[in-house]
Amino acid sequence: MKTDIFKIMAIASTFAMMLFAPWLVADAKINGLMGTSFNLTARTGTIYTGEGNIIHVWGYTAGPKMQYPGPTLILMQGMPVTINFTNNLPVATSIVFPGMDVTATGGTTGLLTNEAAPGGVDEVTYTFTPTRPGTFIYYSGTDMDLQVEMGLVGAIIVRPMGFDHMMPETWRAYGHDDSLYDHEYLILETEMDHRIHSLVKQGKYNEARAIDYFPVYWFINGRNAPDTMLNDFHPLFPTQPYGGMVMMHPGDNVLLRIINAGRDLHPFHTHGNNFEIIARDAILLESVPGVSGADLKVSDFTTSVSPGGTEDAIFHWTGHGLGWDMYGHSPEDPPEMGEDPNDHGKPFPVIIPEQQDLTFGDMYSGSPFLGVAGDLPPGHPGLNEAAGFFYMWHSHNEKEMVNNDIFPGGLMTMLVVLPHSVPIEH
Amino acid sequence: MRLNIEIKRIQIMKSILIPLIILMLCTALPAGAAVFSQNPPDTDGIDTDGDGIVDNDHIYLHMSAGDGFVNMADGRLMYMFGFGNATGIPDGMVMMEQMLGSEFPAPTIKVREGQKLYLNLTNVGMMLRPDLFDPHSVHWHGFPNAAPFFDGVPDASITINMMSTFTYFYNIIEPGTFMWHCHVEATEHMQMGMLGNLYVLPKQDMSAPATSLSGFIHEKGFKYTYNDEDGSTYYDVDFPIQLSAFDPDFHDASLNVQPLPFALMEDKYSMINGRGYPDTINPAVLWNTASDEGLMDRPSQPVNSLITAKQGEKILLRFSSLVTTHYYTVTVLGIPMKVIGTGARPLISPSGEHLFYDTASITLGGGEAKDIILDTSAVEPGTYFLYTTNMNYLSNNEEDFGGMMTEIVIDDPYPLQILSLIYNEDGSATLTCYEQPGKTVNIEWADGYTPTPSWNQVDNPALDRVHHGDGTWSWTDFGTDPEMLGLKPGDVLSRSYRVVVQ
Amino acid sequence: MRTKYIPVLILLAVLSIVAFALPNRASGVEYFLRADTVVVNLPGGVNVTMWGFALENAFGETSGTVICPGPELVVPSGDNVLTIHLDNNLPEVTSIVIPGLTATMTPVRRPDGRVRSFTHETPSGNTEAVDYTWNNVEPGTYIYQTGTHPGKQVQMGLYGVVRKSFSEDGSGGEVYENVDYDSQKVIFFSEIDPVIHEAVANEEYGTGLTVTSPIGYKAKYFLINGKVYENGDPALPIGGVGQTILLRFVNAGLKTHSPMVNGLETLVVAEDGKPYKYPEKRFSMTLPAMKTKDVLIAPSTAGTYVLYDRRLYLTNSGSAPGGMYLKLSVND
Ligand SMILES: [Cu+2]
Ligand SMILES: [Cu+2]
Repeated sequence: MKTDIFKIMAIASTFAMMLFAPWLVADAKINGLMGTSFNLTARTGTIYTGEGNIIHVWGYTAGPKMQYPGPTLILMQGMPVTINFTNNLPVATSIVFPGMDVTATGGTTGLLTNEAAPGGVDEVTYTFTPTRPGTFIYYSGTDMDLQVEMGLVGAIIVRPMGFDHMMPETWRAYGHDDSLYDHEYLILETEMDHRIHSLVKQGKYNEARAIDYFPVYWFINGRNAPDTMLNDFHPLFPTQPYGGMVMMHPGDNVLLRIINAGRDLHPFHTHGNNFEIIARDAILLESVPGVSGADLKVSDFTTSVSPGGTEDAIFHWTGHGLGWDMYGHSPEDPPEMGEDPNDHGKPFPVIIPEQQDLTFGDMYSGSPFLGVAGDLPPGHPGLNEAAGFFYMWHSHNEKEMVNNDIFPGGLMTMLVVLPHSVPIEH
Repeated sequence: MRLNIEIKRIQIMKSILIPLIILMLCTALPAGAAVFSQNPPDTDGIDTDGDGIVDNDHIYLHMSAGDGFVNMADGRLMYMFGFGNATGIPDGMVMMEQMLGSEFPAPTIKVREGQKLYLNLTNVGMMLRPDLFDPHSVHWHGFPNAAPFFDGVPDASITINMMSTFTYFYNIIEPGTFMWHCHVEATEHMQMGMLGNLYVLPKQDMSAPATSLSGFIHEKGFKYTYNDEDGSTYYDVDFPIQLSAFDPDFHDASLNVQPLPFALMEDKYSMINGRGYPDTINPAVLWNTASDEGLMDRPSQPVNSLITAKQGEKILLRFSSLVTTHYYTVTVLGIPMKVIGTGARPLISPSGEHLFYDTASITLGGGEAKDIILDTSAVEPGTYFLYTTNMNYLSNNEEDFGGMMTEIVIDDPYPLQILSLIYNEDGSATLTCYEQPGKTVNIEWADGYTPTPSWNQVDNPALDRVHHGDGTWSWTDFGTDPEMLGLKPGDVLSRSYRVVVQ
Repeated sequence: MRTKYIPVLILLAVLSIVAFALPNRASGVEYFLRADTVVVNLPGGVNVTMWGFALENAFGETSGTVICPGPELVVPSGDNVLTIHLDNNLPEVTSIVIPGLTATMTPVRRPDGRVRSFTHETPSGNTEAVDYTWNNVEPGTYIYQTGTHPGKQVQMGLYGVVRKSFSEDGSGGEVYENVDYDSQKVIFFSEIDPVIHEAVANEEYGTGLTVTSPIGYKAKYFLINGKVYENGDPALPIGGVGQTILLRFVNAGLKTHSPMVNGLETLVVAEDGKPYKYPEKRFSMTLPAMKTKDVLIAPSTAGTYVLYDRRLYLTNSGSAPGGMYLKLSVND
């Protein structure tokens, strides 16, 4: 069962990736809504899972269609924000904004905050001023065990003072240069037990709650692998606008805004290198706040963000120290930008087995070298014409790399390190 | 939603089948396929690992990847995929020797910063799953600035088919606690057991004697977790502690060529270094009972996790988790835990400030590693326990008093033990014992040996004891006034001694 | 040489060596606890047999009320020594350990060699108190728990909190040196899987019986301070505006929980009684099984704040709201 379906899926994803080769069209930025005033609505809708299942979901949206996760709200530090919230769900709902000092008006008083009644009959206004920059989260504050599971979650990014999207030298996550980055990506983790969604669709809320929670789908930015590798606003996923493909050049600093919007912990592992965690819950890890920079940052190769929490990490990769020339240079060749001078011209250390002894990955370029494509066997999809270096980034609770019973999938995406000759658009 | 999969064992005489398969495989070899290990000599003329020798920096390992069996701590035989150690086996013998040679955990890889590792991986095939043609790979989890070619992710690289060898190369420039595993069909192959310990010793171990590390004086034999430059990650003894867990239904489905229950995967056997308690404390190499399946029994679980140290020593626990389903929280009861590293890096800030922290437990998801120092200087000698606080996993499936637990034995460096009691030719008696620094030692004697002796203290043991300088002392009883004892020449005297330490 | 006229000296092989431990310092705080059975009522008419502790004035009184979690044991700032005198009214042996503290441990094994108790045991129906002593209780928040058959007995409810402050000043003080608070509350997380309790109560837990091991654990009830949330529950007064309030989070459940306080951020100052060098300002956190975290909050407005588990264990066996919600009230 596994093998056959995987083959079909591999073909499907291969097809999609050929149409939308990620390094040509995917966004190397975080898409979302910018501004100080937002009209959000909670709606019902459906999403596609990585193996082609359809799940009934509740989500926040600023448009006529439900989306999962809700729109990423991109705010400016110090600028007051107003969110006008209406509810098209069959039950009352609300929004909470951890880390924000929120004033809620309208609607009815709930356990945590003001709630909007179903059917769009009233409106709740949430106002707050983000006093500090960083990565935040929002989610339902009503009947959370059902509503967060159903999909009522989203990300908030607060830009620091002085941030200007047009000026890369101002691209900081926090007020300090320790948070400077070349590219930023959102990694919003969630999971779902689809039985709950089926029961909720039928209005059987108490039955849904009584289930021994046992998720079988895991998401990055609302998509399961392999769909995570497709670009933002991909037409195949009308209610799942955000992709999770990560791109960089050697030497770049990549800011990862990791949010755990689910209820379980997920050990998120980056192949390729360690990252440095510079902030948790939008607090720079510093010994003297506002002064010392991220001097308490922690290097790791796997991180587990608390449920309802956020982390910012800087990933950096140079390929230095491999002990061989990763560009396949001869000693007399000119060095590549940022190349490790110690490895320049060093020969490849081993003999590669014959083609018939090997299984070729879809994202293998045919050579071990960056920017150098090599021979591939007949029938290989050739997804890596740019000869980038692909790295799997995934939940290392490996069970979370499946879509229900189908491997691979789940909480997984890829980083591609592209040669400098291939531009990355923002 | 639960699938009701009726497990129907395919009843085959495996003992007959397997030689057949091997024969078939060997005759059906595609041209070119062969076990071929690469072990190039170190000819660069540079000493890169700091041991003063220029031509010994290449390390060669040969691992086999295939299937096999292990037994859970409740005795249950479990089919697995795994790695075996083929290092030293001639290439031509590797297939025959290593088929069904899986070990759990995979052989521990222990190397030193500055070395270059040539890791040959031979895919010996899955004997009991002749329908599978899976390649295998080695993923050095956490290798810094990795290149995809040697990273083992099948999608991003190439992986080795059955009966062939792929040579991985690692230029090792960072110390730390890593881990390794197969990355092919990762959820399946990792649940099936292709997991092992991997750690890199730092160059700082090789410092010249009497080197001052910010005032900490290095001596020969001193060991560190990282290049801390101040001795703060020093340890006396280290133990890799790798958490893993098996779902028996998944393993049985694999053996029985049934659909694999990915969605329903739920671990029931929680283990440390491939064993559940009390196997964790069994010092023996454990052999599987594959003869139950008509195969040969093999040594398959070589690693025990009994942690031993002398009071006062620093124990480094190299924790990692390669569990595929969930998190485990692990505590050491009664011994303080200090976290000094995570993700194969020391918790030391860029300015050199220690960010170590004390705790009573750590929580690890799959793919997480932490270095813990247990300082035993204030710990009474005795037996302590390392176990999961997710206490439902203190079980070997349906068997209680098991699971993710092991024991830590702290020995008294100065045990209360009489080393010898010798009757000298001159009629005197000499008692030799370990020193008891900082304690008051009294020697007592009694005549005869009765259940309730009447003890007499010797006059001045402190003065009369001879300290040998090797951690022992002796004291000689030159006898007692014979008249007082009423002894006459020729009489037999029996005398008991005891040493009282306060 | 005087020995020359000793004719024969036979040295017997059996020689005893005796170590006398230094007697414990007599000072310190002492508690008399009785481990006993109690039936807890949960919503929906569910009654669950639990094992808990009662606080007594002397051994054998059988006077105190059995509660779960057990009585809060306070170690005064000046004291380092804690002694628990245990009376065991349970149907089986038990013991007490405290993760995060050091003590001399004398494990007791089963006949098959596996450990049954991490330290010395108190037999069922003991006629004199069995003492458990910790000689170096540092300031902090700890869990005392059964050290016997923990896979079963911890679930049954044999746990409670030990707390100590560095200094005390009325209702406030310093929890650790230079970490001030004005008021404090223990927030104790625990779980119940009624199936296992029923099996234990009916003597159906054990080899060859209905439940043979805790592997099938599926908690259905999620409690804070010994109670599941129900609509209309009163708020717990924790202090006033302008005060620094110490919340001592404790998790004796078998799962990780993630306490969050709606509308407030927290300053995490310690875990397991070990202060952080750099306290962490957070709005989320994890509280794994058997861990404690000391957290400061400083509300600037009066009102009711809702603490909840972001792991979303927020039902009572299916009915909502329930589980790990707790209303906290802050007065002016
Ligand atoms: Cu494999
Ligand atoms: Cu890994």
